[in-house]
Amino acid sequence: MADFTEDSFLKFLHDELGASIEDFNSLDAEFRQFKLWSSLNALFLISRIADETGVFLSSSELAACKTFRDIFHQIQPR
Amino acid sequence: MALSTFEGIEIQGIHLVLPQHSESNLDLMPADDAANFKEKTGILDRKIETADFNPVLAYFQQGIAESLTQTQWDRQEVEVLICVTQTADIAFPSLSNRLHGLLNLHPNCICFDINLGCSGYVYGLQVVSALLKASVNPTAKALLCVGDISSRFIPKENTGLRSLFSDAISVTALSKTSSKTLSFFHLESYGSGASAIHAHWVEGKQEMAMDGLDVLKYSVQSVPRNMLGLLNFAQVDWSGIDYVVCHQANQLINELIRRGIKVEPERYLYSLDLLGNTSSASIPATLVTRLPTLNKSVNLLISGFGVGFSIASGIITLHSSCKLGSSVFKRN
Repeated sequence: MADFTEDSFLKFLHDELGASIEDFNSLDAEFRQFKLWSSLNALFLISRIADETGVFLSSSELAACKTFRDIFHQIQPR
Repeated sequence: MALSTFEGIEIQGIHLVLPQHSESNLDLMPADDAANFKEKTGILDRKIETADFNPVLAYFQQGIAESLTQTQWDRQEVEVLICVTQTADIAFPSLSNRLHGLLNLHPNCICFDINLGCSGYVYGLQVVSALLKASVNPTAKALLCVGDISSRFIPKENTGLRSLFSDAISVTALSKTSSKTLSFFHLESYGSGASAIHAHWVEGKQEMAMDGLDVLKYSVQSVPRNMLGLLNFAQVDWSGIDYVVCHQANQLINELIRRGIKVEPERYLYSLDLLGNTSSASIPATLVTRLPTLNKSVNLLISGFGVGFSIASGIITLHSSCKLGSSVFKRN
C-alpha cells in the first residue's frame, strides 16, 4: 500500500483524473468548483485511492472535504 | 447458517429474457460524458422495458415456458417455484403463486417470493438446493426465477442511476440427482449498510436511491473476504475454479474485487459491456451470454452483492448437458 506525500498525491491526482476535470496545480483546488466534476469522478477517485492505500472514504467523509488537501488529510494512516 | 454444502443438486438449464428495446447512455448525456462513463464503468448500452405498466409477471411466465421447453420437463413435475425480485408489480399475492396458477402447476409445488436484489441469484440457488435436498423425491425439480425490471424505479431524469441499470430476468432449472456434484455457499448480511441502496417515496412513487461510495466500500471490503472464505470452506484452490462470475455492478467495483481475490482477467467474466447492471439477473445473464460453449463440466465461483447490504457466493458446477439460452420478451 502506498503512503502519499503531498507531491506524490498531486501527481496521483493528475495521473488518475487527467483530462476528466479542468487543470489544477495545487492540492488547495476546490474540486467541486470544477465544471467537469461529477459523482462518477468522486467514485473513481475514491476507488483508486482505496486501491492504492487501502483507505475507503465514506460519503460523509468526502462530503466534509472541500479541497484535494482535505482528502489528502483524510487518507493519512489512521 | 452462513456456510452450507449440498450434494447431487444440478443446474439443468438457464434461460434469460431481455427487453426488446435498447437505451444508450448517449441518449442521457453528452457524448464525451458517455465515453468517460463507459471507460470507468464499462457500460454504454442497456436493455430497458418500455411498457407503461410493470410486466414482470409476463417476463417470468415467458422465461418459465422457455425453460420447460429447454429442459423438456413436464410442468406437473415441478415441486419448487421461487421468484427472487424486488420489482414485483403488486404487493400480494406472490408472483410465484400467480405463476403457479397461470402455468397450471401441480398442487404439490412450493411457491414463495424472496425480496432481494443483486445477491438474489446465489441466495435463490442456496434456498432451492436446501428445499430439493429435503424432498423425499429423489428426482425433485425446481424453477428459480430471478430478476428485476429496475427501470420502473429509476426515472430518466436520474441519469446517474439510469445509466447503470438494465432490465432482465432469468429462469434456472435445478433438479435433485444421485450424482456426486457438490455445491458450496457462503451467505452474509450487513444490515448496517441497508441504506446504501434503497427505495424511497418521491411524489407518490417509489424510486431507487444509491450511495455509490457506501456500495463501493461494502463491496470491496467484504466481497473478496466472503469469496476467499468460501474457497477455504470448500477446500478448493484457484486451480479448481474455471471461471469467476460476479454480480455485474460496474467495472470500477468489479475490478477492485478482482484484484482483491487476485484472479486473472481471462477467468473473470463480464457482461457489463453488453447489458449493463441487470441487478439479480446479472450472474445468469453473464453465464448465458459470456460462458464459452460447455464442451465439458466447468466449476464456477459466483458472487452476488448489493441491496441489504447482502453478499452471497457459491461454488457450483455446470455440466455439458446444461442448456443455456435467451429470448427477447414478446409483449402480447
